[in-house]
This record gives sequence, structure tokens and C-alpha cells, in this order.
Amino acid sequence: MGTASAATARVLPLVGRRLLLLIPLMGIVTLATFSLVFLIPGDPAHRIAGEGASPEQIAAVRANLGLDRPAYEQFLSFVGGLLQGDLGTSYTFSTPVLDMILTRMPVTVSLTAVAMVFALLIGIPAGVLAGRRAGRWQDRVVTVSSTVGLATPNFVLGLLLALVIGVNLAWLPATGYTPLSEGLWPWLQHLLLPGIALGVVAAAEIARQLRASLSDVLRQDYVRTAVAKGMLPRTVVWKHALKNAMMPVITVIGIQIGYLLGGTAVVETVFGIKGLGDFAVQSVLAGDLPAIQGMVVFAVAITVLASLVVDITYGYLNPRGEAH
Amino acid sequence: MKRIPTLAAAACLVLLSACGGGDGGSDNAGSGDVDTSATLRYAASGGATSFDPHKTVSSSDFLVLSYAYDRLVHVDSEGQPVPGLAESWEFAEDMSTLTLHLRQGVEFPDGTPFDAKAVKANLDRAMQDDSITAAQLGAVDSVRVVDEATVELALGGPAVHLVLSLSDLGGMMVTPSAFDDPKALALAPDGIGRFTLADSQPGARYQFEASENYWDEDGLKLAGFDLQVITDPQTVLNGVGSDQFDCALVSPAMIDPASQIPGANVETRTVLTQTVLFPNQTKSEFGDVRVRQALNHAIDREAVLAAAQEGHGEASKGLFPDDYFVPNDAVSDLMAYDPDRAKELLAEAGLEDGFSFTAITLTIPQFVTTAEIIKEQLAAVGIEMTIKALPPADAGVSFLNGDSDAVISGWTGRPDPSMLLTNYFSEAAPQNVSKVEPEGFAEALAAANAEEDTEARGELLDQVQLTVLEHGAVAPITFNAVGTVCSEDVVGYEAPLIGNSEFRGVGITR
Repeated sequence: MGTASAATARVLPLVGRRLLLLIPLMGIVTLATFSLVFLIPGDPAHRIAGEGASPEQIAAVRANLGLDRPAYEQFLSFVGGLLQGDLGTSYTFSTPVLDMILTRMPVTVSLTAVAMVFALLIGIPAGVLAGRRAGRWQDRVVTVSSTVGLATPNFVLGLLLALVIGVNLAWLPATGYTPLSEGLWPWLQHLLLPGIALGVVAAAEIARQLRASLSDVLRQDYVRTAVAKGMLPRTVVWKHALKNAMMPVITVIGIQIGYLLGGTAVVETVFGIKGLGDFAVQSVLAGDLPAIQGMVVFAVAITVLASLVVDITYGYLNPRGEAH
Repeated sequence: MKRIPTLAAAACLVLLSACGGGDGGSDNAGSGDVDTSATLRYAASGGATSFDPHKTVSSSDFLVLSYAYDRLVHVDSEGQPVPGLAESWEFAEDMSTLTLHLRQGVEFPDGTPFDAKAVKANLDRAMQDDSITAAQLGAVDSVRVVDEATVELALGGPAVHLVLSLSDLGGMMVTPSAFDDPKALALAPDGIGRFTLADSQPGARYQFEASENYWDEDGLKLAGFDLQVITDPQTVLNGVGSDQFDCALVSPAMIDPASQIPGANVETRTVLTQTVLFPNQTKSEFGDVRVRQALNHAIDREAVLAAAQEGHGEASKGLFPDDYFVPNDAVSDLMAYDPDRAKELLAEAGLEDGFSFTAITLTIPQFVTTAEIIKEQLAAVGIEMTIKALPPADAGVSFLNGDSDAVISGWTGRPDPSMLLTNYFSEAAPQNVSKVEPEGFAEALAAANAEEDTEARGELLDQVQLTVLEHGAVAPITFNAVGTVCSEDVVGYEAPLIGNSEFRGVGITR
């Protein structure tokens, strides 16, 4: 109890500092996102009005969207909308961008979660095995496997899994998504193949980091002491060494969440899953500016949040108290 | 007046589907009774930007909207008009009016009877200046209610093409009370149609339920229609192969792989959607008609077809495919592959050493490949073409902004040939970037639109395209092929000429 309170006392200032830092960070992100209006080639008003639109109709659309106003006015309006949770309306689907994001978010969260669970289930045991058997054949197998995993593009793996396991063997669905509300197994069976395709890189990265970290920790004096005192090697690894070895791994996990979210753009397309990744791809291809802006702001917010969670976890795990 | 066929939309349609309509026809497979409680799961390449047929900005919305809205006129698989919500129609002898006799006993979802008053309300709205359908209905001066079941359209001139125009977005019948809330209408359809929208994820999935007491029993043999948007061609095939979808449209390059799927049938048909090289006559050397004519002689269309479309489709001999009611007799010589003639024409134009220009194309493999082949073929006669590939959403707008000298893109098939011809070659058309109209074009088109007999009209439309191609206003390249892969359980599917199927009359046997 006391330890937990001490940890909380350590972490709280960190959270406060990070939250304060969020203000300028989100300000910069908002400005950069707004600037997309001017960076993306072409005239949004012309695109919305359609190719056959007359100059008068294009001008009417421009005025209707406020694109004829000075840039600072447009920016203030954009920020005002964001503060009220208004990310604008999709040019392509006449629907509020926030609604589209919130509708698709559970899909991507599910996919990312399955991918991360897969990565942890594979990456941690593999990393522990390689770390404990550093220099032996088990280590080499894990090292080679993780290198292959890192080098395999997830769309290649996804296509292979869909074709072999989904179509040829028909063991799992090759496309689509079923919500969790329709049952755990229907939900999971649609996410297993894309989850593996998405999570392989993260699994390989976790295994590599954990292997390096654990083999280092296992050479520490306190580990030798524990072994000398007759403690079982398994207990030494899982109860003492792993906690310290996990520090850099947790940082990697936080970074991997960002990569996983980015990877959904490809994996969701390959498996026909209608999540945020697919939404991002469609928005870019359609030049749907509000949708692109909304996605960028949302993705940054999620990444920053994941980073914050990692820092908090790091703070709790670090007995010396300084979290970074 | 808003855009009619968008280049961007056309690109998507060329990729995996196409535009237009078509009714189901003969059975193609399957055995046993049709299961009227079945839902057909369909993979399409795009969704709907809006469910308001008059105020949408994308003509490609027709695909999704056709499941929820009937039109006054429907089309058969050969692209010919058949009764829809109008049971019959006739032109006045002097072509000053078109009278529509409406189907009786039909109601809108809110119980409002479908009658002449409702049709007038719809057509008046469809003709408003800010409507995408205003141009389709441009020949109509006014709409008059004759009696409950009859409306009379006063015409500004001969307009035989109007019948097929009424099979497009402009002929869709929306519940008049829905006009009061256009924002709601944009998100959910409200009109007479085979299906109502039960649930949707815009851009991702549209789940339709069969309408109760639908007037055309033969046209509705399903309890539901589940349309999912899948953009990756291989994913589409994976979905059909693993029984996630009952039917899907496939691009030319995927027709052969689709035919390998066990337990599935593929129907392939050359459609009206075509790839063209469209020069801006105000740019580069394209102001000279001989230079434009040279383009048409420099292109080996068979080579493009073989390489870019795996041989599926048709090398263009004119603006219309072989089995269409408009022949290409008058123009095929103008498009014959003859590099020597192309060089002669360039020499006559004072360009013995050739010239260079920039062409925009779409970042879609079929178009990029087509552009690269054309680049090589033009180089053989001394023309240097620089390719600038842009995303579909930007390519058309960029070309119309004058950012390039030409565009290599897809032109979506339209229900009536005059719609295509007007959209790209009449002087006032927004898509006519050059704002130059071929000599004799308007007169030839007016003559064609005054002829009711289909065969005779086809001959006259051939003369219209003669004015276009003598002028070198466009270089047609290839017609697209659309393959539809369906499970063997699907019956009644027939590939339509105009492009995508409405799945009217299609059923599933279980």
C-alpha cells in the first residue's frame, strides 16, 4: 500500500508535466493539420462542387465553407470547432467526421488489441527464451525469426494468410469484421489473421528488445546472488529479472502502438476491414480534407495518450523514482 | 448545372465497376427454389456520397441509389428503355412534349400516393440550377400535371434522349416530404424502391432491407442486400473465395483469377465505360486539327487492350462499342492505326520534328499502363508525352484547371449516347475544357434527338461522332470490360451493357 502510494506520488508530477506539455504540442499539431488546406494541391471548393461546376457554383461552395475568408479566421474557426468536438463534415460522405471516426474506432481498437496481445504472447516468451539462452541455438532461432518478422511487410504476410488460411484452407474468414456484440468467437475469428499480420513486427521487436535487456539483467550481481542463495532459475527470471528487463520493452510497446495504428491502413485494406486505417486511405484518395484533418488530429491524440500511459507505467515500475 | 460523369468517379468505376443501370435477365446458374429470405452480400468498389439523387455531386452514386430508388424509366441489359414507374410514354408528333403515363397503386414510404403531382415535384427539384441532374433534364422547359396518372413535359426541342435520361438520377422518385430536410435525405434514402436502408456506415457498408409490398414482384427476390465497399481487388476475390460475398465486380485484370474460384461463375461484358486521351485544344500544339487527328492514327489500341486490360474489353473503333445500337461505320477510318499517316499529318501541320505535351492520368495501374504504352507509341511518330499521374480525386479537377495539355482517363457510360456527347463536346459543357464545339455537332445531335426509331437514330448518332472525330476532339482508346463473379447459388444475373447491375430480379437458391 505504502509502495503504491509512493509510486503514485512519483508519477503524479510526471502526469501533470506531460498534460501541460500537451497544450503546446496539440497547438502545433492543430496548426500543422490546418495547414493541410494550403499544402494539398487542388482547390477543395472545386473538388466538392464537382468537375462540371461553373465558376459561380465553385465560388458559392467556397463561400459556404468559409474558404474565402482570411487564413487566420479559418484557423480560429477550425480550432473553435475542435474545442467543441467538431471535426467538420466529410466532403465525400456528407457525415460528421467525428461520427465516422467514432463508428470505426472500435474496429481498429479491436484489431490493434488483438495484434498487441499476439505480439506480447509471442514476443515475451521468445524474448525470455532467447535472453536466458543467450548464445545458444534457441537464441539464434529467436534472433533469426525476429529478423524475418521485422523484414516481412505486413501486406505480404496479410495476403499470404488470407489466401492460404482464409481461402484455401478455409479455417478463418479471409475478409471482414464482426463486432464483439455478436459474440467473442465471431469477433476473434475475423481478427486473428489480420491481428497476426499486424502484430508480427511488434512481436519481433519486443522479442529482440527483451532478449537484449534480459540477457543484460541476468548478468547483474543481484541475480547471481539470488541464484547463489538457491532460488530457482525460473523464479529468478520471472519474479526479479524480468521486471527490470521490461523497462525498455515497455517503451518499445508504447512506440509499437503508434506503428500498429499506422499499420492498420494496410492491413485493414488487405482484409476488407472498415476501421480507421481504411478510413484514412479512403479519405486521402478522395482528397477529403476534413476527414484527413480529423484523422491526423485523432491519431496524434491517441499516440500522445499511449506515450503518456507508457510513461506512467514506467514511473510505477522504476523504483528509483525518476521517470522520463 | 453540376458535374455529370466525373473523371474521378469514372476511375473508380473502371477499376472495379462501372456506372449506369441494368435489369436482371436470364438465369445463369443454380438449382432449386429461390430463397426469398436470403440477403445478397455484394462487394462494390465505392459507396454513396449522398442519398439525395438531385443534390449529390457524384454521378457514380447511381450504383448505390439504384437499390433504394426506382426511376420513371428503367433500362434492360442492352441499355434500352423499359417501363419503370412510368408504364408508358409518347412524344407529340411535333416533339414539343413528352407525356408519361404513371404506374398506379404505388405509394411512397410515408403513404403519399405516387401520382403526377409527386412526379412534378421531383422533376421540378431535379431541374433546379444547383442540381446534378439539371443538365440531364435540360431539354425540359416545364412539367405539367395532366391528371393524377399523367404528366406532360414541355420540351425546348427534339429530345428523344430524354427517355433514357429519366432512367438516371434525374428520374429517381423521392418522397416529396423529404425535400424539407435535405440533410437527412443526404444520409438516408426516402423514396420508392426495392430496398430501404436499414443500417449504414458511410463509405463502408450499406445494409438494405426489402421494401414491403413492392410493386414489381419479379424485380425483387431477396430479403436484403448487403453492400460492402472493398477497394482492394485481391481482397474482393478472397471474400468471394471464402464465401464472405455472394457477388462482386472485378476489374479486367482480375477476371481471369476470378474465374479460378471454385463454385463461382464469372460473367464478363464489354461496357460503355471507356478510356480516352482527351486533349485541351487551347494547349500545346492541339489547336491544329491535324495534330489531333494524328493522335488517333498514332495509337495502336489493340496493343493497349492486350497489355493494360489483359485482352478483356474492346479496342475502340469509335465512341461506342461494337454491340451497341450506334455503329462506328462513319468513323472507324479516322481511328485506324497508321503511324505513317500520323507523321504525314504532323508534317502538314509543320511539326516534322514532333512536339511535346503533358498528360495527366490516374494513379490506377490500368491507366498508368495505358499511358505508358501510349507514350511509347506517340514517341514512334515523334511526339513526346510526359505523364503526370494524380489521384482520381485530383486528376479531373487538375485537367479542367488547365494544369496539363491532355488527360488520359475514363469516361463513364451514360444511359443515352447524347448525354456523353453533350457533356464533353457541346460548347457550354463544363467538361469541354477547350470550349470549342466541333463544326456541325449541334445540328447533327439535334437531328439524332428528333428520331425515335432506334436503328435510324443509331445511324444519326454515328454522324454526330463523325463531327467529333473529324475534329479530333478526342482519341478513344479502349472500352472497359466488367466481370461479375457470383456464387453458383446466385440466379438471374445478367451483365448489363452500361456497366453495373442493379441486381433486379436476381435471387439466391439455398
